[in-house]
Amino acid sequence: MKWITIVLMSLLFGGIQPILAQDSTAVAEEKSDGTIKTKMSLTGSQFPDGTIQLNALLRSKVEGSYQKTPNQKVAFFLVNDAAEETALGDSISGPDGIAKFRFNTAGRNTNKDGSFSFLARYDGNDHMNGSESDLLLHPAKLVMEAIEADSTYTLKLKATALSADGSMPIAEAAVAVYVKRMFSSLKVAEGETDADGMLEVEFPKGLSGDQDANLNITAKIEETEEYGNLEANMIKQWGKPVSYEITELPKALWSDHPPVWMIVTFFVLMGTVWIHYMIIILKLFRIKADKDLPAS
Amino acid sequence: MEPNDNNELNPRRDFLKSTALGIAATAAVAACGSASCSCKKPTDTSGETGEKVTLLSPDGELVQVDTGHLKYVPKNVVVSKEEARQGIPGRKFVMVIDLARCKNARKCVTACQKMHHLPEEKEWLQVRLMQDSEDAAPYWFPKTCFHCDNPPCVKVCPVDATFKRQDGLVLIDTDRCIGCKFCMAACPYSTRVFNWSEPELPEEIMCLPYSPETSVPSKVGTVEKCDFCPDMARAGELPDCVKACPNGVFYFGDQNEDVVTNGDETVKFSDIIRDRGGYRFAEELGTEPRVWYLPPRDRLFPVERGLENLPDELKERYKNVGKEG
Amino acid sequence: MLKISHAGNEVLKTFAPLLERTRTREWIWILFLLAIIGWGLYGLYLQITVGHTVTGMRDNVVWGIYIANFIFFIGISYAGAVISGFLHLLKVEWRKPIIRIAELITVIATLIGPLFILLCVGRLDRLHHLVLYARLQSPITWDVLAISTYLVGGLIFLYLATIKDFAIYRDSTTLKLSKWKRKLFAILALNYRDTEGQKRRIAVSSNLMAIMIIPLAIIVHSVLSWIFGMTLRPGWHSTIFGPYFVLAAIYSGTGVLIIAMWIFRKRYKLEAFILDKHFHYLGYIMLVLAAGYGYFTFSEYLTDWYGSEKWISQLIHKFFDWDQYGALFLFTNVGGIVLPIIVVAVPQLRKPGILAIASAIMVLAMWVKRYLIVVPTLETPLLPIEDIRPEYIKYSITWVEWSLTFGGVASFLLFFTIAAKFMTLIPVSEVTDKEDEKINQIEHGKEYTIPAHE
Repeated sequence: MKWITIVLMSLLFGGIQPILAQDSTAVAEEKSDGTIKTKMSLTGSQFPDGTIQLNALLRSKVEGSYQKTPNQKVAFFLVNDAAEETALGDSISGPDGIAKFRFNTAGRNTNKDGSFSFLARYDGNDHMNGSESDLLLHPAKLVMEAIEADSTYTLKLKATALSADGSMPIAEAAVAVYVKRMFSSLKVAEGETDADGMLEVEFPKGLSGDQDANLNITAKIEETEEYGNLEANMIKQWGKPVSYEITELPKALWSDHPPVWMIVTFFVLMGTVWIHYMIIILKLFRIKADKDLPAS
Repeated sequence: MEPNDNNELNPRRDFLKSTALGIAATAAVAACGSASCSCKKPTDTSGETGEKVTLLSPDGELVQVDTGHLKYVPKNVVVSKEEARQGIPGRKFVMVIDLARCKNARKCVTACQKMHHLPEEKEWLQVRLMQDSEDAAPYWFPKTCFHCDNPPCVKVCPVDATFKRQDGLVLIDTDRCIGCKFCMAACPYSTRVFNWSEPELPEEIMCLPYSPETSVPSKVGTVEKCDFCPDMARAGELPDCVKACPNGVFYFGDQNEDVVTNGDETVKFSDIIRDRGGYRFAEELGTEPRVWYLPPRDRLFPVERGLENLPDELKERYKNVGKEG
Repeated sequence: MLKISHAGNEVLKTFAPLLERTRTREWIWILFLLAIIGWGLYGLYLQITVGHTVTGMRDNVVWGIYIANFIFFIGISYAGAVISGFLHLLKVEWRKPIIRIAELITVIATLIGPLFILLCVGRLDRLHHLVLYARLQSPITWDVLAISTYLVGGLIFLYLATIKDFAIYRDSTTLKLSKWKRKLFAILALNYRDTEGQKRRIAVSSNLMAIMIIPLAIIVHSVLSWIFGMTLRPGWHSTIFGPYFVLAAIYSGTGVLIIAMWIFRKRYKLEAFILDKHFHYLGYIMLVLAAGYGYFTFSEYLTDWYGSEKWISQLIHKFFDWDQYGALFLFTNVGGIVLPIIVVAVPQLRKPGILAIASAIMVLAMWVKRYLIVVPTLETPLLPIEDIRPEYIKYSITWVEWSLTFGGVASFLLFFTIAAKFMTLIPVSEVTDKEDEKINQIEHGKEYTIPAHE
């Protein structure tokens, strides 16, 4: 019953209620033929190594609102000028409802306008409608360089758009620099690229890193119309090291080791009393063993 | 701990999960703390309950499955007792609760109860209606365990069943707890609850592998409380209460990183405390709580919103607020 | 063969029936006690099988009548500590006839008291954790250690004071004992034949125990008070709690001793041995203790009320509100402090019967006081209770808890009854010729007056 386990994982990962169909009590938007509406939104992040991460978020309308839908197969296509679709691959939507696909621009030709046109499609099934979403991206990249000078950390960022004519700077783009933290990412710097597409930001010192003071730094230009998201990532030892050692808790009232004076007091008090008990018990034995004659 | 980026389906996982279930169930036979424990082995699928639930298969089909065939698999990794006492290395968890945003939606309460399989009456996270004095304005006050740095509960436990970890959390080992309830008498914040009778849980929950980090299943005659969900933290996920709140009231994070997040916003802990006047409740008691509150200033909702749409029995709870001086 | 005074012989003759066999009347009494205990055991059975929901305790009031009983019983155990221990060191003669009753109260109460804690514990199957995983910083650990040490000490003290008597029973021709009983006494007598060495050893050991049992008693009840004192709650977190509990314990112990003395004097016609004088002297002790206890109580509540801290005021308010704990508070202070003082201070009232009744009221008032210490504080947490379930807001005692309380009291009486079958309630060896005088006088119809020089 392998597939039951797979289905259960879908239940458990997102903690989602099972999607009920034909439930008269649920306020589910249904078409006249009784299927669930779905919605797909496709976004993409471009990386300096020339790859593009395609994220297809699939949601379905349950009980009046759209909810992320895991475990559905999403197909990705590259569309050329003649509207022909080249299948790139499939992927299954994860617990966050997003199906991911990494597209490598190397060796791929752009369309006539210099862009890549993507399509993500969900075919649907007996109970859910299909949906699709397209995305047009002009190749671009954001390059991040780390500079350590004196006692300051600086990040040099350059955003360029790539086209057949060569690279052109992307000006007036809002860049944000994030540091990856345990549960999320913290924005530590931001700015706008100048006319040359460059930006220099100071990176704050004193952020905690891991044991070796590593920090996972990501610079992002988010949600541009032409280029989608641009991301650059690096790991630098620009943080403060945090000790991952498990040390013993101090001797305190709330730890498992009592303060020394407590232990001493305990042994002194208990010892005194119980030693005297022993002495008395010894005396009792002596009484028993006494062979003398009674007095008078 | 890096969050798991790999969301693609891994066929190996199914196998591992099945084996884990097998190990878990076997271990659970030994680990069951209940007096009347009888954890069945996973191969026993004969227990059809007749109750059916609708699930989605990967082929996109909706199928009806008997609940007896559902085997509950633990969500996150269950660590050893030793690791559970040591804590997650390098972390110092802290929570910030924004009183200006709370409208008593109680999604946090229900999410916590759902995650830990608690009955409706048992609340590890309570939302109180506080009025500091007669002329002060009432406000909604979600209260978790404060995981104090100078915990009065840990001080008095005679058997070391409740303990403080290096990562700041105070947890309970309900395999060790003798149920003397001294910790409940010692906690000034009324945060601990007791299992006065055998918890009514389905068998698959009773047989889940237990660790002080999961705090599931509840055991009769022992104490329990909010644990800041360290098992989820190990998987890089925020506690359910933080995720469930529709208004972003709960911020959770690592004080070593000086960052807290409510799922949407990520801020520096020291910044938010400084800028919004963060404080700790009843600081004068000297318990050094790890939960900070942001005062109910520039509120998102009037306090009356919290009483709307509330079932009568819950409304009854707050009828005395504002009457006593 | 130990030399017994004439008075001692009288004692033997009085108690011979108890030691020799069990008569019908006694069987009825024992069965009655067993019935109450049985009812208590049924309550215990329910508590174990159904769960602690059969009690009145819930998440706010986590400790109820069981803990109050525990404090109460450990409190009354101080009868022995004070009378036997303290008066032994002062070498006060008049203590001798009553030491056995006092010491029995100590041992039996120290046995019964901890049973009530066990009733309160959620997981009886894990009690060994208290030994295996003990944390020294916890007041409960201190309590476990202190009470076990105290119990052993009390047993040793009782035994030391009874060895001579066991030897007397063993050798006595007056007593017609069954064979196994005589053999038992022979074993317990430890071959005591009143040699110089044996006499000396017993004297030294008794002195040692008397010296130790006083600080031990102080530590035991202080440690018990610190279970409350070390928390942050109003009504509990008071610096006076250590001395307060110790004083209250000695006080209630004295009261129980007076009651026991009066009951036994009436029941076994011991007027020759337990004299009005004993009641007077214990009455004086009770007066002093009542004054001390009253002073501590007054100081405690005056300070709390005057400071008017918010959390404390919420609690104090309940004691002065007739609809809440006002009535009980009044009773515990009037019955527990004022009444005994009056009864002892007024010579016309200072009679054994009246003293016994006053002691009974006082002991009851002390029990109510223990209840008032435990429950109202738990009903007044820092964060006011926001719950609609009435049993979570206010503690009410269920029949299971009453059954176990009375079962505990019945067990106390049962142990006493059984002890009386193995030792005379007045120590034969201690009754000296001084008593002979008094018996002579009483037998010859003369009114016994307290000589001026005593």
